[in-house]
Amino acid sequence: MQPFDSPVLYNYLALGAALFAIGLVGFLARRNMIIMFLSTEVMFQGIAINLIAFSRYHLNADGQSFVIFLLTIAAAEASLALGLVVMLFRRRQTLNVDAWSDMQG
Amino acid sequence: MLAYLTNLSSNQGPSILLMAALIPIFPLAAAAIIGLLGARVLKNSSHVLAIAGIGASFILALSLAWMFYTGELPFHPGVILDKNTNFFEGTIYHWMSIGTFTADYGVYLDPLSSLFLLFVTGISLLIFIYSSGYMKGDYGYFRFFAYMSFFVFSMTTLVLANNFLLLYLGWEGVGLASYLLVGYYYPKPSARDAATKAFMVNRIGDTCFIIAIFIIYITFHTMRFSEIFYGNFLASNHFHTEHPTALMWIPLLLMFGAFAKSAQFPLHVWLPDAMEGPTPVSALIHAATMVTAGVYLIARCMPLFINEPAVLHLVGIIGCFTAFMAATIGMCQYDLKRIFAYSTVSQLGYMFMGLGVAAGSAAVFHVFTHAFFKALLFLSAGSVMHAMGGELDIRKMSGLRKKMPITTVCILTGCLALAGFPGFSGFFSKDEIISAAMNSSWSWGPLLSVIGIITALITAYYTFRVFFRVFMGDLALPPTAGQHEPSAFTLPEESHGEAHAEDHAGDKYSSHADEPDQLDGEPAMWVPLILLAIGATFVGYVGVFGGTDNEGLLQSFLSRVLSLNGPQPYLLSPAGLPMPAAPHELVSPALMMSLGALVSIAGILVAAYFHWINRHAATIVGASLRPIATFLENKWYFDELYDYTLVRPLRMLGHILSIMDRLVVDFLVFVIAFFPQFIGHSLKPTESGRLRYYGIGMIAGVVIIVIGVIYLLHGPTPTP
Amino acid sequence: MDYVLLLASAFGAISLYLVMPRGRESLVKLGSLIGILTLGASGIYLFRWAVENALPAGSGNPGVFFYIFGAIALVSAVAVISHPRPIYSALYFVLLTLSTAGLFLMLQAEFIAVVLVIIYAGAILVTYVFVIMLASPAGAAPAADYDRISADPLVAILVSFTFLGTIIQAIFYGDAETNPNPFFNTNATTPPPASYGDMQHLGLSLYSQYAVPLELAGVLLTISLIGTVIIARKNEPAVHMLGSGDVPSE
Repeated sequence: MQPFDSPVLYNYLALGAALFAIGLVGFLARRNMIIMFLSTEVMFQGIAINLIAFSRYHLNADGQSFVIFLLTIAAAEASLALGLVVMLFRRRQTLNVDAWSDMQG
Repeated sequence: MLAYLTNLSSNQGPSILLMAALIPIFPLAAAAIIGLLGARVLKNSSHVLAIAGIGASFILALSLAWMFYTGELPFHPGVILDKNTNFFEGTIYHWMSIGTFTADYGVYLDPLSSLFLLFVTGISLLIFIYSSGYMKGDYGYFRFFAYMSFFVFSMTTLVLANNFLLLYLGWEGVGLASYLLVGYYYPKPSARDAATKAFMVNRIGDTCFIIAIFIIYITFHTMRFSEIFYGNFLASNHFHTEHPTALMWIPLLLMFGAFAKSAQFPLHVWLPDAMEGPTPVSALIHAATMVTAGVYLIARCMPLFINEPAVLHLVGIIGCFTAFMAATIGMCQYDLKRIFAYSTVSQLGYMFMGLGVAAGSAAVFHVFTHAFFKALLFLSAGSVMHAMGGELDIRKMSGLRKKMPITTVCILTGCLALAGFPGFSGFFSKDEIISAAMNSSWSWGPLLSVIGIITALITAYYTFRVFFRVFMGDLALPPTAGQHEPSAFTLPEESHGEAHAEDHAGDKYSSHADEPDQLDGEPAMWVPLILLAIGATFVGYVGVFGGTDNEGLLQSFLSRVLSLNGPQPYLLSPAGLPMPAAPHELVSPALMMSLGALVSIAGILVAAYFHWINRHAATIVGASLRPIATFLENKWYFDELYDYTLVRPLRMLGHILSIMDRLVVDFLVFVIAFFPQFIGHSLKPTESGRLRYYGIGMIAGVVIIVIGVIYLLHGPTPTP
Repeated sequence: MDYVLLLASAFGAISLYLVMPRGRESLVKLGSLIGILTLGASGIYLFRWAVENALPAGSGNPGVFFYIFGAIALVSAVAVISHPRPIYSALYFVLLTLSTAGLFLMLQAEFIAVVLVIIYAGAILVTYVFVIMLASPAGAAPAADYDRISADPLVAILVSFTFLGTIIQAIFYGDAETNPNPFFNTNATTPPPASYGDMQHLGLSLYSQYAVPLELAGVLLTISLIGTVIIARKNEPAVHMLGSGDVPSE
């Protein structure tokens, strides 16, 4: 067994939560659409750490399977979202998400 | 549908049930097809389909009546066939079933309904043919035939119904058709008002009718005629003592329903106004068929009325009064169609008088003859109207016999029948009613009879007043003569113009001829007139000759249903109830008949003197009787009376309620509406359109929920 | 003592607030300092918590690589979201991915670690870089305004770190009955079965228990592929609509 591994589940969960929170801050506070999507990828990383840690904790492959799906979703989302970003950029020549606030009351 | 109808037929060819089921279906199909395709496809050939549908129904009705007459009822499984009461009942399909309440679409055939079917479809057929000429080129030609076919469907449903609810469906259906057709020229305000008036007045009666149906269901727990009339209810003494109130109210409310539909006092006011519709409508709906639905209803429910002599007598009294009142009004009117409308009200009064003295078959006989001669009179009036370019004022025309020979002969026949001239149909039927009233066991019968005779005199007078005024004397035409009736529809339409062109080319009076020489119109218009004239002359004889027991053919046909000494179970009345005894002879029928003939001839002679030979005398006499004439010209001031007693107070109430509505209800509504608006306005800034704030709101919500869940599930104090 | 991690979260929030791009370099340095101190302190706290208070006897080495990789991951994540130039964000994200892959290796998920690097660092990140290059305004030597100045970082950080604090509260200070055992059942003394984490194990799970979701994921990928092609296709009429006048100018 690896002598360098920490056997504490909580540490991994806390790290995942911290990554998720940082990604959330990025998503909410940044104005560049590409960075916003990159922040969601950071959130994905936090969740993936959670899943893998639980997989290791329970010694089954469910968490790892979920991460496979998560990667799939991330890839699909990245391709669609970036396609949309390109289209929106073409429309207004800016990546500023605040340029798209037409749906206001 | 076809397979379903085939199921209704037996192995031995078409059964009665199938035939009866098809009678309403043909006009309904015609109405549906014309309604759907008329505007685009059928256009000016819409009448072909309508006439085909009604013709098929007429043939079926004729065969059914024949079968009832000969008594040969082919056996059919699943059909209730009662040989004792001679009625025939079958269910076409289950209409509705709610709990224990069931109503079927079923037919109830007996001599009464088969007779009604016969003349409804027959007269309709003739009027449809007439309409195809009369309505030619009218805007909305297809609409007219769709409505008319729908009317025939409703009327036949009404007549064929085997339960009260289905009868009510037909009842409302004819009311709707009447409304639509009275308002047929809807661009005219008077037509719209007349339609609304007819509908509103009928609502009063319909409300009474539906309440009567409710009481019937509560009392009898069924709606079917066969169970109500021939079941064990009415024959049991116990039943009568248990439901005295209901058994009094049912005929009373049914009576009001019948009065509204049949334009009896005090609900008669709609019928004269209903003449705003096209003339064939007046002939078919407001003279021959629909208005006799009330007579049909009371004749059908005679078992319920027989047991409440007070209500029955009320029917007779009101009928008699209406007959007299309408006849007097008819004396002083100048509008050709209005005179005939009041004459219809008056004749309907005779019918109710007949019903009131329990002479059901006489009343139905009068319905039958009246359908012929009144349809004839209206159609002739329509021909006059057509020829005079929409003019109906009898003061503006004279001596039309020279221009309209066929119409003159036809209208003379109709007038003779209406006036009760000996030998014509109206003579026999009216006389039978008067004679039945005279010889009734009811002590008021002779009084009604005398009023009836006086009314007959007035009838003969005002009928021939019209005839001599319009058709005799020197020729005088209104300036509009020979032109087309000005259409109420100014909407230009291509086919309209074409039809006009064809019309003018086909007519004998083309527009370039200065003096129209023949105004009878085209064959489609005068052939039905001749057929109706033959009918109006001769149908009376079926009520006099050919039957058993010294009765007329019609009477012995109807005696299975309506005669007092027939074999019906419902007349086996429980002991202790006042039953109309068998008629005794106060005055012999022969004497009554001679009296009737005398009165009729007298009326005609008076009319001839004043309106043909010496028209100046009429003016002098009219001037001396000015107050009475004004009273009659204003129709006994009924419209004004209703205006002051009902319309104006209601309108005042409406104004008050409208002010209340504005001050109270609108204010409340405004206050209620203000709050959502206010909340919406105050929340509007949160909808910034920026993704960021939506995300922040979402995460904040999640945080609140998570904290809430943790604290709710695990308490406020964490345990490290 | 019990709320050290919550305090660390608060300090982390402060440092992140200072680090978020606002156009002022000095604050970024201060924020980085606070952040690194907080990170180190909380790492030491967790290490000590594991060694002294919680780790059962005989469970072996508390390990140091978790703390190293975790620190790299957090620092690079902060860099991803706070760097004013998108291309650097993308590069830091590669670093984040690599450190996450390292953590996965610690958790004996070797296949996932490799896949993560291949897909994220190899495929997705390349796409991002392409788009960053494609969609950057022409001739932008200085970073764009919307990159240099973030919007409302205070609110975003408050909300996010409240969320983080809630989760940490739930993880570390939750009810002992409902919370799971904080330690892995297997460790250096009782190693997990040899089959755990290998591809056969994962493959059996994916193709038996999760066969249908896997197929659906394939369908989803195809759909997104088609959708991306359609969305990103150059749509001339749409570009033409730019000049129609009702678009607010930015």
